[in-house]
Amino acid sequence: LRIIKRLLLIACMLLLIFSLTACWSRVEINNRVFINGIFVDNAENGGVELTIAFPLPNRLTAGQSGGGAPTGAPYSIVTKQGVNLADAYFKIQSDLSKEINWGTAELIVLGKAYAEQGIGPILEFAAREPNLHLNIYMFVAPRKAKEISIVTPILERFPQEIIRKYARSRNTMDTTLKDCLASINYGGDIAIPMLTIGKTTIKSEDKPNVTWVGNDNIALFRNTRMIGDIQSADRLGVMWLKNRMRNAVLTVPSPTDGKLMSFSLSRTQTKIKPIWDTDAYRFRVTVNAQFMLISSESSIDVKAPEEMKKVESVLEKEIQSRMEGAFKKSKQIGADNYQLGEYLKIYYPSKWKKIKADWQREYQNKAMLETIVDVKIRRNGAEKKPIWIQISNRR
Amino acid sequence: LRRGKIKLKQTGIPSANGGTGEAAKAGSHFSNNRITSEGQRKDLSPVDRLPAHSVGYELGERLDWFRLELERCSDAIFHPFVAQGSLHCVLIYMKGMTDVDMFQETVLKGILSSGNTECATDLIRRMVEFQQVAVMSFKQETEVDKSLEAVLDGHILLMFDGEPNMLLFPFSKMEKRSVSEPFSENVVRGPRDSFIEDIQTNLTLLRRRIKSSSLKTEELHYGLHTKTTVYLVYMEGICEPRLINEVKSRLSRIDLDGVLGSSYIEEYIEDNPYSPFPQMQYTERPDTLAGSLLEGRIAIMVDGTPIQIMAPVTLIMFLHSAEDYYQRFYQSTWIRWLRYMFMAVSLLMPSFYIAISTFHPEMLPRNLLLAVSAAREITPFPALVEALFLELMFEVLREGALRAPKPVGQSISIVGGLVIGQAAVQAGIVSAPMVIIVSVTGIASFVIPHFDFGLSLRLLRFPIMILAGTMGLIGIVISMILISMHLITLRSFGTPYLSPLTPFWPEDFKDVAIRAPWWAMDKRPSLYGKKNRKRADAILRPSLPGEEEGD
Repeated sequence: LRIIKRLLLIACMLLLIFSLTACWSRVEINNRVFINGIFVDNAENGGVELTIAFPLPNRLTAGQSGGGAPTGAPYSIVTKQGVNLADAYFKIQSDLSKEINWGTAELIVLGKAYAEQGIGPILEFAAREPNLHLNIYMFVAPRKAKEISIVTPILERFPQEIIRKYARSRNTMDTTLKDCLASINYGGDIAIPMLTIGKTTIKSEDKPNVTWVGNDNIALFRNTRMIGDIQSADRLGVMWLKNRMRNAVLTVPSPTDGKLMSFSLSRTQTKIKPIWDTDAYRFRVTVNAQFMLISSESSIDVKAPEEMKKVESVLEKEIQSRMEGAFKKSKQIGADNYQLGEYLKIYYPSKWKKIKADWQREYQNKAMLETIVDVKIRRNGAEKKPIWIQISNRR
Repeated sequence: LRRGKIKLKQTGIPSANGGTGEAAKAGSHFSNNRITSEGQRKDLSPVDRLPAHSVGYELGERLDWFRLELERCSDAIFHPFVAQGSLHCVLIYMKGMTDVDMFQETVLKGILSSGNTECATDLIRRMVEFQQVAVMSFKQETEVDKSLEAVLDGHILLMFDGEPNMLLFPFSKMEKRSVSEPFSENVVRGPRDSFIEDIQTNLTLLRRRIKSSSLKTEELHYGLHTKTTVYLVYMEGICEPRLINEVKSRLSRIDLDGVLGSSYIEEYIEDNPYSPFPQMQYTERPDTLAGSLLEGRIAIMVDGTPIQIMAPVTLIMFLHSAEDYYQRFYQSTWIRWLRYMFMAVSLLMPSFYIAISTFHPEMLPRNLLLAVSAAREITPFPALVEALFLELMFEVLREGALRAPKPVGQSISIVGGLVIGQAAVQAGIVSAPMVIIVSVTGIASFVIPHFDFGLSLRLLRFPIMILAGTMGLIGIVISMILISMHLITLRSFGTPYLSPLTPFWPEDFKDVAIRAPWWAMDKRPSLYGKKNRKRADAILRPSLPGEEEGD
């Protein structure tokens, strides 16, 4: 009898478990559609145009047995317009035979017009949807976001993969949804990388004039609205300021004969220390970078330390000017796009509280940048002397 | 010898009155021994016996009693003869269990050929006092029921007319398997002998390894009809006396009519009879048994089975193999970690697959997700049903291959593997990832060196799978919580089942997290008692000879 009692107790406990919320959210993997990318545009009628891109697993060759070879691209997109994002999402979902799973989304691409109007709605939607991961990358399209979704993948299986890799391998800034949401605390000022789009003919593709995507500018936002962008050269400055720099190639003229030398970045670190002066907020940015010589047209002796010191200082100036360019731009538009305010908050928490509400104006008027750049050229490559010197010596 | 200690058997020949008298001496726990309490167990007895004490000393009377008892026992032989002209004798023995030729050579010749006529008493006295029989040990017995026990155990009974003492000669002969390689606990480097069915041989195998008078073997008998010999084996001075007493008191509760294997005993003395986990370790290896005795554990050896049981046991011990102690310690440690990891795989892999693929697909790397998704595109069943189906097929295959006659077993596994692995995937009934998961799980469960523990995990896999299929990762977490709750409360003869992890005994980790080299394991595990833990005097790490002694 005691056993029966105990069994009943266990059965009751198990039944209680079934009242947990997760129990009924079971969806088989083949009844889901896994979103790759989310593309948001303005619609003509003032609403939103939502485009989602997803892979088609039944057209992927892996794991298939029997049947003919799959035809067509293994991915597709669906576009719907709605009065807001949720409306557009619902319209897409009601047309699809499978359930949308946001959990696998990798990037959100915002149309330029949409970004200029303000990215508040998408941030709200993304923050509320529990399945959407916070570390998905944000991008701004040069025109319409939907154009980006039909880029031709060459090295990847899916178009979105290409764009995601830009951020992942730090070819450009990697601004995530989390960064955007965090920036709301500082007035919604953020820097989101922009893509470029063009038509080109690629040998491997049948059709001419396929869409080609690259990355170039960085869009600057103020109060969640895009109001400007930073051009290519200063883009690196943004990444240095945000300590997101990983790989870059800098080409500078040699200090001896003005011929070009190219250096690739092997390691860099940025430290920022704010100094709260009465009339200014000075941000002391210390960059320690190590470079590797990848090509030299100059006849400079790369083995001579004193010569290379000069080259190093040229590189230092180059980095400094880029960071300053990026900083100047953000001051111009009066937005703390690089979240420098965060350092003030950490170092001067009590003072920060007073100026917090007025930070954007304070930033525009009183923020100053001090850059200390230390560049070391660590490696010269496998060659001791440039070919030019060897040739001239022979003569 | 200390009082209450059992005299060790010196030869392989069991004594006539068995453990009855001796076990009764062994302690109060054994007063309730099967044989002594037989009088109260009439209800279970197949024959309504004549009370043994009412049988007189007359040969005829005794013979009648024996004939009645052994009625319709076609293998009982009654052999009356007349010795020295006038002395009427009867031999009773069981055909096939006794070595009659030897008996004739050594005993019967002596009795028949002794010239002068003497009465039975003189004859017995001559044999007993002057050792004039070439038999090492024989017993005198006056009670007929005890004699009957002995006859059924393979002794030859010699009765004389008008003489109260009967003689019992231990001429038992037994067909037994020779010592062979272990069936389930194979090692690459290490001894290859294993226990057989005969307990005396088994005891010899053990005694050969531990040549110490501290190795105590207490003889007990269980089973109203089988009268199975059971030895309680331990190292005196190493084994905690409390443990010995606990085992004895639990053993004293046993009351059953037949013991055909060690599990009969095991199920009677377990701590938690409803637990799915084994609470005693079995082994068929004498070296494993000896090793565990030296650690301070206690063993129960049962006649008629090569499987001996040991207690206490912890979960970690089920993941250790005898091989660990014979290989080098780096390799052993690595293999151990492998086992620990794959124990989890064997228990949880299908459940994780079900939970993640149906509830949390975004947890998978995206290419894997797409591969799984593509493979599942055409499968008709939900992941849970698919997994249950495949796991069931795998279990059936395993059981089938195990039970089938040996030549057929091979073909079962081949056909089963082909049918399930190839055809089912090609037909689109199951998905390829699921086949991979199930096979990995199956292989992982073979990594567990102890079959009974592996069985527990195989069994627990199914409820976890169902929970995972209905509740996702929450289901797995709940099942893990339930299992760990059970494991934490589980004890094996007072030793916490999860020790030395819970409770945390860091010094025992030398034989858990790693397999420390032998010279570093200078202390016995504290599992079974803190006393007398020293194994060696100091850490005797081998080293090169120092400079002063170098050549």
